[in-house]
This record gives sequence, C-alpha cells and structure tokens, in this order.
Amino acid sequence: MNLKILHLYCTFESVLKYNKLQLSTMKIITKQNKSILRELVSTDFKIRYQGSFLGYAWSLFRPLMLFCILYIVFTYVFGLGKTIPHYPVYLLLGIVLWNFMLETTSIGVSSIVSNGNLLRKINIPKYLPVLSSSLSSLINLFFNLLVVFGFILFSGISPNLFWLVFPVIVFELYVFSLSLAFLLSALYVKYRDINYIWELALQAGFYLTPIIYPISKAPVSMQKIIFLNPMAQIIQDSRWLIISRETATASSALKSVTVLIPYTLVLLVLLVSTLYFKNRAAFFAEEV
Amino acid sequence: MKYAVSINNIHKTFKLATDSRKSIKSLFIKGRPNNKLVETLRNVSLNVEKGEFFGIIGRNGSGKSTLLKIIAQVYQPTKGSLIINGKLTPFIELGVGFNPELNAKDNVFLNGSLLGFSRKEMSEMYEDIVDFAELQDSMDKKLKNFSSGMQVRLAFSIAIRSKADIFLIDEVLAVGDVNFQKKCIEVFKTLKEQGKTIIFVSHSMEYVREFCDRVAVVDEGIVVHCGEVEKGIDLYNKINYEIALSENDFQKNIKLEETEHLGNGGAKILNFKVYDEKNAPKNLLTSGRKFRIEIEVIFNTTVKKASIGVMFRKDKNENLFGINNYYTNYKLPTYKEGDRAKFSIGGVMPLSEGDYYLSLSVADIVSRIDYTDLDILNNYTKIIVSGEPRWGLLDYAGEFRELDE
Repeated sequence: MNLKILHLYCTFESVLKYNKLQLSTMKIITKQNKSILRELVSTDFKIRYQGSFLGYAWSLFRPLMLFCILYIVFTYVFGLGKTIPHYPVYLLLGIVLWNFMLETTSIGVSSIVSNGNLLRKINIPKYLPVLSSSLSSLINLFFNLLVVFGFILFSGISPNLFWLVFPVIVFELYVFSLSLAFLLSALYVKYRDINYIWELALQAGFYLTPIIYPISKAPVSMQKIIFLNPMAQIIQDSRWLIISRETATASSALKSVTVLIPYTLVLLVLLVSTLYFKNRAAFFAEEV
Repeated sequence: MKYAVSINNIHKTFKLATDSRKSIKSLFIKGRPNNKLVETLRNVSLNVEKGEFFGIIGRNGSGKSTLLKIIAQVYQPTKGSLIINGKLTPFIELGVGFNPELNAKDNVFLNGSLLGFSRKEMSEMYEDIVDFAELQDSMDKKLKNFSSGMQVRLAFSIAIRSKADIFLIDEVLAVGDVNFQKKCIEVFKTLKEQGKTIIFVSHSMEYVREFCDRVAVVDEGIVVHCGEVEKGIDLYNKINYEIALSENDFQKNIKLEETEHLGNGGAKILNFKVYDEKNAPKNLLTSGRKFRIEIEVIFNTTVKKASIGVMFRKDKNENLFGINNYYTNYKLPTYKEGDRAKFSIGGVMPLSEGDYYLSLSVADIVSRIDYTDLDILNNYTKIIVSGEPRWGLLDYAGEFRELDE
C-alpha cells in the first residue's frame, strides 16, 4: 500500500514538472491572457446554458440520468450491482470521471476550428480556446463531484485520509484530458475526420474502461490489458481511494515496471500534444 | 528606434489545397500532393515611422490584407523579418470576438479583454464606452439583435480606448452612417495629434488623401510605390484602370457578336470605342473634359426613327446620365436592312472621380415611352473617371458668395 501512495506521488511530481514546462513555454501567466481566459470561460458558460429552463442544472442532471439508466439496467437486468458493495456510487463516480474526459476532449477537438474567426483576426496565444473550454468542463466536474460526494456520504461511506489524495488523481485526469484536447484540436485543423474518429474511439473506450462493469468481472489476463489504459487506472484509483480498499487498481493488477505504463502514457500524450500543438499553432490562423 | 514598424524582405506563401478541407484519406493515397503554392507577398519591405499616418492601398486580392495580418502577427511570414517598436492594437477588424448570442454588455467585456484590458479597467471605462456608442438603452439586448451600424459603433467605441502606440485600421469608414464617420474622423485626428502611429487600409482615396502622410501601393504582392500620397493614388487609379481594360479586353476589339445582346435583334452594335479629350482611345476619362464614344451599327430591319444612345451608371441599375440623338434632336434617316452606320456620341464628362458602367443601346423610338429596343449592351464596360474628389457623383463645384447685409 505504501508502494501505491509512492506511485501516486511520483505521478504527481512528474506531471507537475511537465505541466510547469508546458505552462512556462506557453507563457500562461500574463495578466492579459488571464483576463481573456476569464472572459472566454464566462462566455462559454453563458452560451451553453442560455435559453434552457433548467440552465446549469442540466450539467448535473445529465450524468445523474445516465447513472439512473445504467444502474437500473445493470442491477435489475444483469444483476451486476448486487455483488459489489456500494455499486451505485461506484458507478456514479466512474461515470462522472469518464464524462469529464469525454466533455473536455469532444468539445476541445473543435475548439480551434470553431474559434477560427477569432484566431484569423487577432494574435492571441492559440492555446487559450482549448484551455478555456477545458476549464468550463473542470468547473462542471467540480459541481458533479459535489453531488457524487453527497451520495457517497449518504450511502454510509465515512471520509478518511485517502480522500486527500483524490485531487492528485483529478489532476492527472485533467492533464490527460487537456493533453488529448490539445492534440485533437490541432489535428482537427488539418484533418476534418478526427471528430468522427474520436467519437468512435470514445465509444470503444467507454466499454474498454471499467465504468459500468466491475473490473473483477473481466478475466485476469484482460485486466492487465485494461489497466494499461490511463482512464482505467484513474477511475480504479479513485474508487480505491474513495469507496473501497477492496477494488483492484493498476498497481495491484500490474507487476513491476508495467505499473508505470498508464502514468507514462499520460506523460507521453502530454509531451506529444504539447510539441505538436506548439509546432502547428503558428499556422492555425491561415489553416482554420 | 525611429521606426514603429519595420518590415524587411517579407515573403508570404500560402498552400492552396484544391480541396481546403483535408481528410485522413489523403494520407493514405499516394500521388502528387494537390497543394498549389500561392505567393501572396513578394519581397515586401516597408518602414513606418513613429507618429506616422501610413496608408496601404491596393485592389482586392492585391495582398494588402495579408500584409496587415503579418504586421498584426496573425500570420507568420514565410521569409523575412518584422520588427515592431511599441504596443500594437491587435485589431484587424472591429468587434473581433463579438459573440452574437451574448448581450452587448458581456460583449464589451469580452472584446475589451482581447484588447488587453482587465475586467476592472473595463468596468471603469464601461459608461464612457456606452455613451460614446450612444447605445445606453440597448446594452441588455443580445448582439444579434443589433443592426450592423450599432455593432460597429459599439466595437469602435471599445477599440479607441486601446492604449496602444500603433493602430491597425482596416476599412472602418466603409461601414456606419455619416454621423459615425464624422466621429471616426475626430478620433483619427486626435490619435494623430497624440503622435500615435496609424496604419490605415482603405479604398476611399478621399480619406487617404485627407489623413495619410505616406502611402504604400500594393499590387500582386509587391509594393509598387511607397511614399508620396498623390503619386500613390495616381498609381492606384492607373492600376485599377489597367485592370478594367484587361477585364473587358476593351481596346482589343472584343468580339461583340459573342457577347450577350439584349433587344429584339433588329439592329446590332458591331463595334464601339471610347475616346478621351485628346482623341486617344481610352476608358480612363477626366471630369470636366471632353469625351466621345464611337458606335458602329448594322440594321437588320427597316428602322424609321433610330435612336442610338449611351448610359452611364454607378451601380448596375441606377442611371446617372445618358446621351442619345432623340434628346439632342438629331434627325437620322430611315435605315434599311443591311445598312451600316457610324455615330459619335459625346460631351463634357459631368461625373466626379470614380468608376462607372457604360451601357449602349439602339432603339426604334416613337416617343420617350413608346420605343422598341433593337440592341442593348448592358453595363458592358467600366469607365474610370479621374478628377478632383467631390462629395457626390457629380463634378460640379457650384457658386458661392457672401451676401452683403
């Protein structure tokens, strides 16, 4: 178990280090960029929920409705839920984390192209639209998690010290999702098939990640492959930290160095996306 | 550090894909890449001095917008270097980032942030911006419900708050009403007095003449003139005129039989030529000077009361003035089938600086309202008129005197 915490902190350290690199090379801190970012995020929020009666509540209802559907199907039709303690919150947490990645990347993929009008006319850092759409999703995640934690406490799980590590996992999730969004948005400028491909990839990913089914239902050999996927590692680590020490995690399922693969994948995506995005950004204005 | 903007040997090449949207498929299909390279700017060098009001003129597609975008650092030059001394307003156009779904107030803050203002600074300036735009009652409306004039007014009121040293202004005056244009002019004057550097792109030679200290003429990606304003404007007019020539292939005896003839075919215009006051065949005429148009016609039926005429128009449907033998009371004989005749129509050019469309017609006329069109060449060629800039389409100075009490 100590090993596990160590892993988590290693990830945290290195993610932070790489992120610092990314942030410093992109000069994120200027006062002007901050205020542009702020306006872009608030615009995003205003537009997204404009005109709908329930407005922001939809961003909470949507994952909850999905949760209800999946819970009914998997508990009463397939009888899955009965074998797992706290299956409802187990499911809900998985859905909320997955949904964050889904929202960040599927909105992020078109964030450069849909802001083409802006980028064609003004010289602002090209990462701002991607970053702003990811921040909107991050705010959504925050409110979704408040709801999730409400359910968790309601279902009788008591808070403990492991919860303090959870933000690290959320951070990893954010870095992973944002990196994917950077990569996809830059690719989408050149290749307009990317959004369809990504849609399919997300659908496949939903079933390759233990979101609705417990990881223990998969054959052991399959589990090892599933855990190479950073999303599986992130969701299982979160469940381990918050809900139950019983559930399998990447560090319990994978042996020796392979344990590092999901974390390395996150860093790799971060690195590749940063380099590719930086390389392409100079041409966005003329290509979008 | 005398120069505000210094551009050295800049080239800009665009890849023009035959299908601009690429697909993954193209990655897997071998063959020649279908990219065409288009050289939009070639070896452009310019220095804009600090405090200068610098004009850039050129036809559409000449490369002046690309040049402006390179100065604004929106586009990267393919080759060459750009040095900018001072803070530059990033605006190529007014109202960048305006979102039609947001209300006007939110748009002010959004636009302001892109101009480099914090929310606090914007809050302090907000009242002034709204007052200047004269939109006090509409700020809660969504921007999509604004007229284009209102949007421009709002955008302009924000843009002028910019604390930049170098302003890039592209065709601001083309939009908005007279009142707004007056305001723009006031602002330009103030900026000029404050010693700001202004790079001004316009199609309005009137404003270029009024404000610019120096002017660059861009044509087909090359700076063909950089310096004196009047010389630049002359060159610009000349380029326009040459283009009009080549567009219409006017002097090369275009085959009129291959063009669209309106009318019932009772006569046909075989050929025509426009002559300036020196009797040289040209379609560049001068206000207040003589011109004439020679028309050759063949008649295919018997025409008792022929009327041969020309019409000048500004846009393609508003008549400005016409000349024909019906109004000049010139009696023509009856023409029979197969007759050919040549006519000369002309006078003193009453129009002011600008370009106009010329139409020609042959009719059989009984009265002003009772006539049959035999042949019409509608808006057939462009005529460019040079002369003193005037307020309005007519080159008429009028008379003025002070009255004794």
